[in-house]
Amino acid sequence: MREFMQDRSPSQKRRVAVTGAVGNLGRLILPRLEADPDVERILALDVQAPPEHAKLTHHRIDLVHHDVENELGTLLRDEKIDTVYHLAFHMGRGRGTYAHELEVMGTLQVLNAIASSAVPRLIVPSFTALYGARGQHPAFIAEDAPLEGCPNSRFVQDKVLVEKQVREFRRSHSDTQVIVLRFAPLVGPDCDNPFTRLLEASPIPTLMGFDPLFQVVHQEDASEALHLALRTDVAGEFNIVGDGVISFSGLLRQAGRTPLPLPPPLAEAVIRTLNLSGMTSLPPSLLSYLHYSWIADGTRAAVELGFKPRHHVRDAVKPFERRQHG
Amino acid sequence: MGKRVHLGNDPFVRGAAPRPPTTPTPAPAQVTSAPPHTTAVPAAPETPTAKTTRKAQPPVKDGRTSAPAKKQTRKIAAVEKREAQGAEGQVGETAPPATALPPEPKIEPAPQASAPPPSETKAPLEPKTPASPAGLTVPTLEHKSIAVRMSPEKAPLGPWAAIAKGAMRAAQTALGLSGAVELDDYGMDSQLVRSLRPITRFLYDRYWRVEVEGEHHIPSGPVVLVANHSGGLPLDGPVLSRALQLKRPDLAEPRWLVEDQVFHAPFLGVLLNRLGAVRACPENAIRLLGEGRPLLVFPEGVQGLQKPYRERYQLKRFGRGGFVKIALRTGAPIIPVGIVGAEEAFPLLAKLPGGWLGVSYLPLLPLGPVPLPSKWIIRFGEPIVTQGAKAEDFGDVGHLTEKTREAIQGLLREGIQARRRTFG
Repeated sequence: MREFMQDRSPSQKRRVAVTGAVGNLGRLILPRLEADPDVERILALDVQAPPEHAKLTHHRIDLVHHDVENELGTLLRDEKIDTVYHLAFHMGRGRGTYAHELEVMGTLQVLNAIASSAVPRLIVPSFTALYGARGQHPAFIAEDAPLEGCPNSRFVQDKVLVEKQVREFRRSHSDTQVIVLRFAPLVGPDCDNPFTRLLEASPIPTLMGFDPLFQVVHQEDASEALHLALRTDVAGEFNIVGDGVISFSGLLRQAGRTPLPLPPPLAEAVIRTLNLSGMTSLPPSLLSYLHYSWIADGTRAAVELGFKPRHHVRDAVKPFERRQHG
Repeated sequence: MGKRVHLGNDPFVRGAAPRPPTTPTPAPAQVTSAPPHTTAVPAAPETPTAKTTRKAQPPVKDGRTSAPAKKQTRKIAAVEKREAQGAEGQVGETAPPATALPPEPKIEPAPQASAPPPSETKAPLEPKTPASPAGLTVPTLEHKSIAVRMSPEKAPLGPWAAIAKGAMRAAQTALGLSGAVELDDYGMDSQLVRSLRPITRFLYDRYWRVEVEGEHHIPSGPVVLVANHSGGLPLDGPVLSRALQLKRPDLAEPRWLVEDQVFHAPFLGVLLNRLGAVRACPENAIRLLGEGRPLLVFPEGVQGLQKPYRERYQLKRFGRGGFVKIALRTGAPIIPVGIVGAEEAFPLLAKLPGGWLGVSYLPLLPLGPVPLPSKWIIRFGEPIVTQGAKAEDFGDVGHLTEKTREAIQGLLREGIQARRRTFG
């Protein structure tokens, strides 16, 4: 693992581009970049414009378009961008072709644009869920574990493809410092992802006779990690996890929810019925994450990135008022 | 009155000797948080000191009060004592007691609360939990308020209630509904372990009458303890772990590895994980040894559990010698262990189809989940000599695996001979 020395003068300010600036993850980092005195320019690339700010410029970019690569490359060159946060991931409800196009094809276009404009630093989010929950993992999954994913879930498999592309890019462009942050399930008032939707479902199905261990990361800790990646010298993959582990039943208790234990052979059928009846909308393909533990080891981030989570999993999952976003 | 007075942890003794009244020690006024038994509260301030000074003197019998009243005063006294423990500046107590006992649960059965170890006699308000230096009194204050809040009517529990509570908690855990919030990194629930202590103690001391020998062979620091695996339900791990903690409290907390077929079995897997079991894989073994713990491994794996009763204590194949490789790589010594008694505690009568539960078979046992009262003998052998062996050398690894296997077989033979009767 090579270190990327900073070949910049201390007075040189940073010019940062953020794709998916209006999405779940963009919301985490934009306020920090705006408040950071070292950042002089933020280029927000998304189909919608984020809230106004003096440092911020918005360019409408639709990554699903097939030839947005050249436009993007030109933009990055003209604005002299030195860091790209590629945060254009679909975490919301519904998983159609759009999400696949956005994540897989969109990432390919962004990577090509970065290659052509020689941006020195790229930061990509990922998820510890990509390790998969198959019961073959050790108690703590390190970053070198293979990403087995979840075969029936497009949500997970698309992101595994994204990580593959990023790894290929790293191999062929060793001059670019690529930092991949693998987040544990994100919780917080601004988070909307399959995990938070599970916690809000009523009832919450669980598997009788199983109680896997869980870890989460609070959105404030996640945004801190994203911010740390802006200045770090190291590259590679890092598990970003909160403090401590908790049993799934304990997590539900802390969140003030009641579980609905189901016998495992019936679980999938019951969930599908609940979805059909409109009571819930939970993807049955992600059921294995409630079956086996998938705890990631956050030591590498602590040692090399200097990431210290401030929220214990117990407190992070306490109920909160969700803030509405457009 | 010449009758012998039993004091101590025996839960079945009623009416212990009354204590002579003494002047109350400056216990802080805990009236606001006292339990609302209005009848006994006025008497409470005297009772803790009277009770605790009892330990300083030999038991005095000068008349008996009725058992129920004594039990009630004992209960209230225990609560008062716990509250007083949380108070700042425990009276006269500057140094913590020498024995570091694990912190007791917030709700304790009455006899345990009323009879702290007799070795500490001087301090009037003597804590059962390790007396924390001033900086750590805050957690005990929380304990105090939570203990009182949670059970204003029935702090501490009677012995049967404690057993029932532990069993309930274990059942909830097995169903996956424990709601456990305080877990260690590997998933162990220390509150569950504590709440099961009455049952564990009974099983270990009275039901199975576990005898341990050779524990002096175990060095401190990381060590691989290799044992035979047996029983329709694999409780040899928890029992061996408990034996280690009792006989060698100087060692770090041991953990044991279980095979996938048990770890991922419904109900059983969760329960064992919450009791401290860890999934058997090299990464986990290396990590646990890196923490300086004794690591208990069962190389026979699920083959050891599937043996019919007539093949008991005949060791199955020891796999590929993974434990030897890990021991050589980490430099941890290998100690063979022979466990006699686990086979008869859960004798496997038959294997019922278990596909519907997601397991390869369901064990048919004589009393189901209730064990039989076999006598257990655990023998630790001398460390296996591993000098000069290399983890990459197949020959070395095979040779050491065989040596360990023979050592364990020898220990088993000794243990079976030493045990005169199977259930005696």
